[in-house]
Formats: sequence, structure tokens, C-alpha cells
Amino acid sequence: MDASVEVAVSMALRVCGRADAARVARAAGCEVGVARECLEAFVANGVVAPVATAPGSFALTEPGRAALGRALAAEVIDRPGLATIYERFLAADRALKRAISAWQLAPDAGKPAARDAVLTVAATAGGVAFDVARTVPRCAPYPRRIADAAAAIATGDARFVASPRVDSLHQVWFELHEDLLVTLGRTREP
Amino acid sequence: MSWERVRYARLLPLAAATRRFADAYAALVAAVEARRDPLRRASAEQRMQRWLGLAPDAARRLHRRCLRSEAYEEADAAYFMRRPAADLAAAFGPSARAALADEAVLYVGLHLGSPVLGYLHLTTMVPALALIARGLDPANPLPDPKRRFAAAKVAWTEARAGRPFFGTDGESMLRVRSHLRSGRSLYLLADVPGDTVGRAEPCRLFGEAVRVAAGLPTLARIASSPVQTLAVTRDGRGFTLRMGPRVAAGTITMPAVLDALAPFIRAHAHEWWMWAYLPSAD
Repeated sequence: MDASVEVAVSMALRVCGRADAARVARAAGCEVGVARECLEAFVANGVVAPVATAPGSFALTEPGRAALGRALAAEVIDRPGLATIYERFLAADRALKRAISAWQLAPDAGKPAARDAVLTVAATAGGVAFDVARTVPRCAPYPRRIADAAAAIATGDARFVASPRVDSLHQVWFELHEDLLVTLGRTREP
Repeated sequence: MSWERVRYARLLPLAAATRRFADAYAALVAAVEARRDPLRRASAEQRMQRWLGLAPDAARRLHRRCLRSEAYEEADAAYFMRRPAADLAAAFGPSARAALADEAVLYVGLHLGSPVLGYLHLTTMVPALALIARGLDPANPLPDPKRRFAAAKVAWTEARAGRPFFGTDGESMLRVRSHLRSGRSLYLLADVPGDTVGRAEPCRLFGEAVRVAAGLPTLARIASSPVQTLAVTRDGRGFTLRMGPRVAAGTITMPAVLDALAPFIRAHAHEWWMWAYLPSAD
């Protein structure tokens, strides 16, 4: 198994908390079969465990989190460059959260304008995600997932703004935030 | 606000402000357009499978890349519309100057990559090069926000080239004849769908009969000029003007020109925008 796929699969579980093979594959940017094969190997090694209360789902174990930490420390990436991008991420994060909150609170008549504002910040967020992906290649799925969420919003599927049950804009952005925090060894700001 | 207004009034200006944003713009627009036009998607993907022997998944990915290429073209144009000519010149790699000739030539490209920026680049090397293209008349169906951007882009291109476009109506054709008869060169695209023009002819492309605009050989006869095939591709943050085979005066037919251009479609299939649009003649 390619080491970069293993890190991507581990990180998918780290940012999702728990996930089935299909969700891991989406987040890691690999085929479902590859994700399943990787998860089975991880279970055999004790770095991943099935979640008893959610059949088909998996979560990192403590040894798994430690192994991911070691793998990230060894990852050859431009950390100062990523830290600079993270500052831009935080600015986009504020704008995105404002826009999503405004959309959630908007009355029906104001929903189209609020949705357009969400799409505009989604495009900015996508730009930040592309910069992250250029610096950390395993993050390549994020900009594509943000674009797909924005496309669903633009074509009228409001679930893709903030629902945790689909690959929504808010969900993908949240996962990217977690990924950046773990990769840079930072904690979430209040 | 419609999607077109969001796209052209809000997102495209962001892409015009910084090239870094072009990637996000292209990804977002491609994702939206893939969802909004399932008929185009199905038609394009089926043709990709037939012509290139692709599996359905590969065709789906290729179609998404083609949509991205179209969006990049807009983002790039919007970006360079705000900048001096030297910036565009610097974005082109070493061009095939050796393929340029002193004689009048019909430079013939495709709806692939960045044909308009390629035209502007070529005008810096070919004196009095004029472009012939369908005008933004009411019969050309575009949503208003896109039409406004297209009009601004045409005005910018004409100003930068130092000459107006030639249209495709009868009066414009008279001016094209004068232009060619005075020994000057012309730039046009060969893959114009046959159902958008008055005169079309069936040609085979990758073994399938398609209908394309048929005026090019007539122009070549008027000019007694050869056709120089070309394509303008996007490479990273820059562009490459690629010269293809030259078709000699006296041998110019639409099948001959498309045969010369087909390798560009095969090699840069992800940058060709006409997969769904050339009507079948079978």
C-alpha cells in the first residue's frame, strides 16, 4: 500500500472521527476498494478499530493517532508556507461562517441572496483549499469536494450548505480545518 | 440572483483579480455546469467513449476537465483584460516562429485551450492578422450576464489587436474578401458546429461523420493561401501556441483541415470544448 494513501486514509478517520469505507475514500481521494483494503490492514495492525455502535464504520485507535502523528512529522512539506496559507484560511473561515449563519437565519425571501453570498465565499474557500493542496498533495480532494458542494448549492440542494449528513460545504471546510490543525500541530482558536 | 449572475458578477471578478483564484473558479464552475446540463454531459461523454475508447468513468472525468478548461479560458481572459499587454506576452512560452510565414496565411485553430488569447499573441507576430468569429447578435443564445462579459471581452480583444472582428454575415464576408485579396492573413476556428451556420458540410472526425461550417475552403480559394493549423493550450500558469501541419493552397478541404487538427483534439482532449456540440451527420 502506498504510504501517502495510508496517511490520507488515517487523516480521513482523524478528521471525520468515524467513517465507513465510502466516506474515507471520498475524503482520502482514493477508490472505495483501496480504502477498504487499507482499513482492513489497519485493523489487523491495531491502528484502526471497527465502531461497535455504527456497523461498517471505523475509527483510529490511540496507537493509530500516535502513528499518524509520526507520519505527519515525517511528511516532507513546506510548513512555513502552509502556516502562511493557514492565516488566509482563518480569514476565509470567518467569512464562510458568517455567510452560512446568514443563510441559516435568512427568511425565505432572503434565501437566494444569502445563497449567492455563500457561493461567493465558497469560491474564496476553494481558492484557499487549492493553495493547501499545492503545498500538501494529499489534501487534493478538498478543493474538489468544496466545488462539488458549491455546485450542489448552486443547483438548489440546500443540504449542501451545512448538513453533516452529506459532503456539505461546512462539513468539508470543517474537515480541512481539522486537517490543518493536526498537520501544523495547532489547536482550534476559540 | 441567477447562477449566471453569481458567476459573472461575483466570481469572475475575483478570478480577474488574482490568477491564484482561477483554479477555484474553474473547479467551481465545472462542478456547477456538470450538474446543470446533464444532456450536454451525456452527449459529450458518449462521444468521448466512442472516439477515444474511454471507459465511462474516464469519460466523466474528462468531461469535467473540459468544463474546467472553458472556465479557465474565461478566468484567464478576465485576468489579462485588467493587465498590460506585456503580461500576456510573458505568459506565452517560446512560440513556433519558424512556422510563421511572410505570405498571407489562414491560421486555423479549434475551440480548445485559449483560442482568443492565442489570437492576440499571434497578432504580435503576424501583421494585420484579423479574426473571423460569430458576432454577439440576438440570434447567438447567451444569458445576459455572460453576454455582457462576452461583449467586454470582444471590445478588449479588438482594442488590443488594433482591429475589429470580422463577423460571419454577408456584409462581413465582403470585407473578409477584400482583406484576403490584399494579401493579409486571417485567424479562424474550424470546429464551428454546422447547425449554427448557413452552409455546413459533413466531415469525418475520429471515424464519425459530423457537420461543421463549410466556409473555410471558400476563403482559402479567395486568398489562394495555405492553411496553417494550430492550437493554443494552457500549460500551468502559461500558454503554448502549437503549430500543426500546413495544408497547401489548392488542396484545402474541410476534411483535410480537420484531419490536420484531429491530433490536437486527441492530445489535448481535456481542453476541447466541442465534444457535445458538433452535430452528427451519420
